[in-house]
Amino acid sequence: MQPSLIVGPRITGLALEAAGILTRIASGDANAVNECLARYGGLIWTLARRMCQTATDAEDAAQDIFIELWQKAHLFDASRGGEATFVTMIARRRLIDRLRKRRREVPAVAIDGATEPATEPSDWTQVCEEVALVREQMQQLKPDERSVLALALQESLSQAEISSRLDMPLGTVKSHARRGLMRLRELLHRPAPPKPAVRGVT
Amino acid sequence: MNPSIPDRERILELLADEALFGLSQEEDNELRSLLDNAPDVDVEEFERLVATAQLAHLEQLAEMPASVKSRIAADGRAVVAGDRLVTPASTNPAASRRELLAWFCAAASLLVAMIFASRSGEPMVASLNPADLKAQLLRSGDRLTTVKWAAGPDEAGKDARGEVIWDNRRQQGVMSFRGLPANDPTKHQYQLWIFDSAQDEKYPIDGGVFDIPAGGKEVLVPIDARLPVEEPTLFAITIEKPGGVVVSSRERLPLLAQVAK
Repeated sequence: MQPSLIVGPRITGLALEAAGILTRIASGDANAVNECLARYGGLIWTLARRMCQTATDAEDAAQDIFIELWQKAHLFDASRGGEATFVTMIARRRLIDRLRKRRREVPAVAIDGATEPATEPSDWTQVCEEVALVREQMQQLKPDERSVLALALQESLSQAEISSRLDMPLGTVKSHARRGLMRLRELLHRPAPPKPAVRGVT
Repeated sequence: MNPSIPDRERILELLADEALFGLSQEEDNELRSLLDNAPDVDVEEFERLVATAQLAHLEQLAEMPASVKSRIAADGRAVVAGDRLVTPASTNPAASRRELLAWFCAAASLLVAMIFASRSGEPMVASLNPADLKAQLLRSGDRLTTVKWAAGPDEAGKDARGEVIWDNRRQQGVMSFRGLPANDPTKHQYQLWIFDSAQDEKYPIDGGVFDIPAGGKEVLVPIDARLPVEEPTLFAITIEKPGGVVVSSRERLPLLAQVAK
């Protein structure tokens, strides 16, 4: 069965884009370290647990990611995206490097079964605009494109693993992934439709 | 020079692949080569897009364990505060072979004195405390060699973790350890050995003697290489008699960190 994207309330606590935590870190404010960990620790830990085989690997990865984040905090540019996006970008880059290295070294095995308490959805009460927009525009993609992207993003599967899971030729997986992303890019670049006029308001 | 349309399409394909799955070395080389002729391409655009899409796909956030958080916080304070507190890294160019030779001669002339002095277990090169040294090294960025410890044949290393951070240009480094058993300095001490591509494997470079205190916290130890290191290939920890040895029998080898080629 092909996975489908689920639309609905999702992670939104991250949307509480703190007033420049990364900017404060870049300026040498050591007090911002704990705030950064409190705000993005769950996000990075979730991604690390998802893309690492063991909790020990995830701990090492999370440590590497935060160090890189602190070193590169000065590169954050709010005009290009939110802090959570920047943090996720740094985290994914590190984790993909580790994942590819691991795939070269050892055959994949199931992740260990350790679980951690999850953040209560009730805490996620605010919606990040850019995340909401991407989620909305992903619904415009073709079902196969959405399926491939969902498996890459939700389960961190490689192209070959997605090919096997969906019983789809590898070349087709690559095409769907690329076309899906390019289409999403086009949709996000498209000017937003004008808002309908409100009558009776002066 | 603007890339041709097929080249531009290929760049976008590779950037999309990179953002979602990462690239093989061959693909990465191809991308870098194509980008040489495409200075206007926003190379992070797909990465940002995928990062945002990743956020859109998260259902729940797991909570980072407190122990991990506190370890990372300690690193963070060192890195972030280091920007203000640590003297900026020197901009010494990489030592030339002639300089290395001169350094080697100087090091050799000091070697005997160093061997005796080092037996006290006192760090010899650390003008900064290890946390500040680590922060300073981390700020030096891409030229660092960072290698995780792996357990060696000796039981003492089986639960140990940590890493070696080495800056070959500055010939400085720091090791971190967690879970390495505390030693009684009157009975034995840990000693670091640096295997160098320029040295016979039989004679690795002595990287200093150190102790692990009781308490189980992360321990940072500055590397005290007694000779210039040309190209480290392996870091190894042995357990030796108090004061260390000049040549190790390698009978007790708890930790190894192999440098990737």
